Amino acid sequence: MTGSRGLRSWLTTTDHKRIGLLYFYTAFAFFLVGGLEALLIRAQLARPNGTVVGAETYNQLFTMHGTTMVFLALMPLSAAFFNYIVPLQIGARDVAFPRLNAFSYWVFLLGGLFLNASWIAGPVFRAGVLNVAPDAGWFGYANLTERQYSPGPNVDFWMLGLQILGVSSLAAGFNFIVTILNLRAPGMKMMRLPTFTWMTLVTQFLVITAFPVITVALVFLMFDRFFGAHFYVPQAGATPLLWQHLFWLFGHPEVYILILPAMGIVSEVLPTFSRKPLFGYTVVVYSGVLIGFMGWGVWSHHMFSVGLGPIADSVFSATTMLIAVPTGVKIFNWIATLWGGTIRGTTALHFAVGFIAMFIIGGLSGVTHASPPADLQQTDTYYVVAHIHYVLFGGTIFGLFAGIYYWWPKMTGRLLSEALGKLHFWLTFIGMNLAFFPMHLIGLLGMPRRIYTYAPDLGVSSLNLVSTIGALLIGVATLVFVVNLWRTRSHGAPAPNDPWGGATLEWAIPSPPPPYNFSVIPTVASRLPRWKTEHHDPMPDPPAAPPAPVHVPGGSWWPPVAALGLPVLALALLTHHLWLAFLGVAIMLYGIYRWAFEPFEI
Amino acid sequence: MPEAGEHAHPTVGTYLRVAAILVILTVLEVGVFYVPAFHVVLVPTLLALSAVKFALVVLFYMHLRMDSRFFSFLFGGPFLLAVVVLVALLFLFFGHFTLRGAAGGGGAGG
Repeated sequence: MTGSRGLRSWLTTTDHKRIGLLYFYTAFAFFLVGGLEALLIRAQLARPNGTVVGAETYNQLFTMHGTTMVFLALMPLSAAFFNYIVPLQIGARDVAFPRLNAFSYWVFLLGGLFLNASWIAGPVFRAGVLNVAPDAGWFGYANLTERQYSPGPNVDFWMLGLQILGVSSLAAGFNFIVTILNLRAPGMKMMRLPTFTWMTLVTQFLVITAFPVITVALVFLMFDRFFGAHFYVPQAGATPLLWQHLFWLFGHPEVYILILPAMGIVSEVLPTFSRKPLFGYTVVVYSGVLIGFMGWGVWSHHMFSVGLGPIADSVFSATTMLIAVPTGVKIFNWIATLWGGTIRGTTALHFAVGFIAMFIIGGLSGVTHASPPADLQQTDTYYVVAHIHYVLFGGTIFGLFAGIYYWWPKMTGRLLSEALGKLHFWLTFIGMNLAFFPMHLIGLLGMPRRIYTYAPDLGVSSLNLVSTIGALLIGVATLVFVVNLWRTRSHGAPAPNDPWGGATLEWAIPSPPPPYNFSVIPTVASRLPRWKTEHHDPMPDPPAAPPAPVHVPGGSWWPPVAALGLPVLALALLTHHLWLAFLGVAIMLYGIYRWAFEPFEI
Repeated sequence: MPEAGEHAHPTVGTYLRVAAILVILTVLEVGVFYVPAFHVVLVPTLLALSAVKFALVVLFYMHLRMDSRFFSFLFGGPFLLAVVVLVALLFLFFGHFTLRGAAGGGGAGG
């Protein structure tokens, strides 16, 4: 690991690499929590009339599973790579605002803990039960979330938790945009950026434009619940459809926030293990940018069933089908990258190719939702659950695992076991198809989603059992991965600078990199700086030791202190204690004040 | 070193003058509400005043006037997109332009 050791050094770190690792371990822990929730859901649905959990707990499980996976696992797992890899790929010593980066992480961690505290916070609210977790779905449709229908603290936890997490995402979004635009090494023009960094940039623009929308929607809801406002109350002349519009205006760009980083990872892994440049780099980059723009024009396809009218239905149907074009372009380019390449079947490549295959299936079922008449049959059935899991598990998770196997040697200095990795891949691949493919049929046969049990005469019992077996297999696969991670700490083969023969800058420096990253900031002359191309020889690696001392800023306590103010403030709203609100604001202001006046050169 | 297309940063005096203009505009915004003559055009007036304040903030405090044009493009692109999306949302939300219910409607399922 880099720099000094000990708990204090981790708590105060502003090093993008350490923050990247913190993001990884925290997000992976939340991934396990979300996975456990999924297994409980599947245990309940394994047989008709299941009795593993009751209806109320089931509502909490599916709400927290979705919320956890989207906001606490997939987004921050991508953030782990943004943090660790992007500065290395652009030849920078750190991100533009290292302390803001630390702040983002601590806000994320505290927001995640706040949200999950709802599992055991019942006694605090004299609820009569232990768990008062959010129970209105990860989409939190109004007016189900109004105080009248959700009187307990459950929805408050969800609403306030998401507000906290939004602060983290926005701070990170601005940080990475500035980093990518301003901290590029000499010669690293925009069209020489590695594809992963490009997709990170597009993702961050989506974050800073989409998160304000849900922030506004949640503020409206907060006013409704805490101060008796009527933003979503039909009796007062409002319409709950406002929530749906605002939520999906955020929600659909959010889907691309989740998938674009995985697409970026795959665009790095495939060329390395095919020993070929990415086919159509420019088109792949522009397709990503186009997806970023077009992602804003499709939100109402989540709302066909509310009766938008034929013109709106036609427009959103057309835009949804159109967005498949840049996505398809990427898929063809990935396949063309593999075509004729010198392919090495590493675990990372397995996951990357698995991504393409699974994402195609998810994309195709997505196109069927784009047709309003078909969508009306599919809405709120397990068919949609199948689609989202092919996209977010078969797509995002596979892409993220490809990234983990690819960059883990760089991040820790040790190679993950390929044998365990392949076992992990195949168990995951078989498990996910067993778990999610039957859901297409379960949905088309008429089983609605979000119901805690079903009757045997619905005719979906066997398919549900198969799905549960698949989920268990995914659980086993994840355990294999955990064993691989654990074993690699002591038994993993030491990784050289460049175990895979990669073309990008991160492979030019030691694994793990020193605190200053590059002994000398490289000058980039080509899109593939470490490969010999038609016009360029490979870039020489920077010297092992810096020719002159490199100043690396020390840690800071103030980002975590400032971050601590947010959950305290949220707790004030939750418990209706004004003094807590003052305390939260005081902690935050004190942290920000000390942070602002902390000497820069420490 | 400033890049091409970048100007020197304004002085503290400029920032204070902009702040003074923003305060005056805010006073005007509150003031027009109390002038009966403005009631018929209250919303357009407030929108226009807000637009001027918005422009001043992004040009000076967000430095777009001084920075490279690239940043104006990066700000302007998503801003334009946001305007288009909001206009679309208004059209949808108020429903008058969606022919709701015409020719059998867009599906009343769910």
